[in-house]
Amino acid sequence: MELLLGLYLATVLQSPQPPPAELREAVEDYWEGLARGDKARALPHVHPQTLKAFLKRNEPALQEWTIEEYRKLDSHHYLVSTRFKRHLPGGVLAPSLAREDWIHTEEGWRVRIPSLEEQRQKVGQAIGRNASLPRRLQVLPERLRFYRGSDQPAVIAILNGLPQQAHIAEVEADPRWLEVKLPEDRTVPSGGVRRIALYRSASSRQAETAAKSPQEGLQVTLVVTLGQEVRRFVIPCQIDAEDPLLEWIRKQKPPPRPPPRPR
Amino acid sequence: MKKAMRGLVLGLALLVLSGTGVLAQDSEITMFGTVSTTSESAVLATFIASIDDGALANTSMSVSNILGAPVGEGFPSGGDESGGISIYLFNSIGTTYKFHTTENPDVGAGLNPDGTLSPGGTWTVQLSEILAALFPDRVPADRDFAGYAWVIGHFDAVAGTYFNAFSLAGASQSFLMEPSAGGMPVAVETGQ
Repeated sequence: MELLLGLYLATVLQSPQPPPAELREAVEDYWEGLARGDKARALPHVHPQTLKAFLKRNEPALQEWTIEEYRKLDSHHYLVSTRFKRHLPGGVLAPSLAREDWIHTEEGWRVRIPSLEEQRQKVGQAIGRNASLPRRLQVLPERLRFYRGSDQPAVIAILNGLPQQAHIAEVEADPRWLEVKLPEDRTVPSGGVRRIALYRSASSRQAETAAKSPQEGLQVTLVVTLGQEVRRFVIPCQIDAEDPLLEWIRKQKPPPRPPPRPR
Repeated sequence: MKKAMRGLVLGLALLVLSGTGVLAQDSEITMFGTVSTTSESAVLATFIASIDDGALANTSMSVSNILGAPVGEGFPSGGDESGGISIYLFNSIGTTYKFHTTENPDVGAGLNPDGTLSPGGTWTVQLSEILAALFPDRVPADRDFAGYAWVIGHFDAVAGTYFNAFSLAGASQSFLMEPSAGGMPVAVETGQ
């Protein structure tokens, strides 16, 4: 008898617990809002820290949604899987699956919407991307090029693979030739990237001045601080650079005309 | 007679050794795998777009280095087996923008830390990400793009797909990137 009772208790304890009623109500109302195309109805169920991602997200037209699973990760965190059919052009209904994190907050259960960047990182990791930058401060490219006939800026990328934050202290460039567009936020967070755009100055675009373009010696100096440490990067710069790849593209031709018909 | 035969054999051998590049030179078409360099290969995406930072329209691209696929049985290579990728964007008003992965190894997913793509690797990226890297000083509304693109792999065999999503219209398109001649118009002869 005791053995049977023990087995019964073990079975009951191991069986999945039903999710909290408040969670079920929130999940169902959220999905009903999405299915009706009523984003405002779904909005109150979104975690306040991810509202921006939700508002930016393009909601697909969907129907026939079914909650497949409530997986309890802890008492304040459930992973909810929902199957639904997504409308594709041409009247196609594509079976789809969503897995969403539902977090218990002071206001109730809220769904966490991943940002585009988070999703991209997840995809990147899945296809083998080295998610972290090399553990150094890297400045690219090794040579800045302003191509002939192009208004495209040259861009310096600062990649910070170090554990501490870096700061762009200064960018020195000859104003007769170059105009620097510093970012508003000059910090380069650990594991992050910051870019600086450089344009040819108006005077250097004038034909006469361009003819005297200082092909040799033109350079940009970037000063970056890491706490007390100061690092200086000197990047050579080329004006009116030729682009062999663009030349190759320009040489592409359509297929030859067929031979003339015999008359 | 012997001399003529020897000449014929030598000529045939030269043709075989030089590969299809000879054919490409004769017909002035650059076909996939027959570009004049052994270190680059190119494909064409005929229509790509990013509007409003990708919110209204965006193109997702996947570019693969197919030299190593499947493992150990990839295409024979006489040149570079891995390298960076360059994208040349041509918009409708004739402006060209250039993007190089070796200068932007953080953009997209699937690259090595130095911005190169190894055999068997695939780089996935959205056009909006590329434009954000090219124009870091511009607000998203000032970096819209619609046009076509040449995708150049700095290795021997590049291949790619691209997907256009137009969220406002609820429509999408999916294409293979084409070898150059496939993307060009075919000459029409009416006989008049």
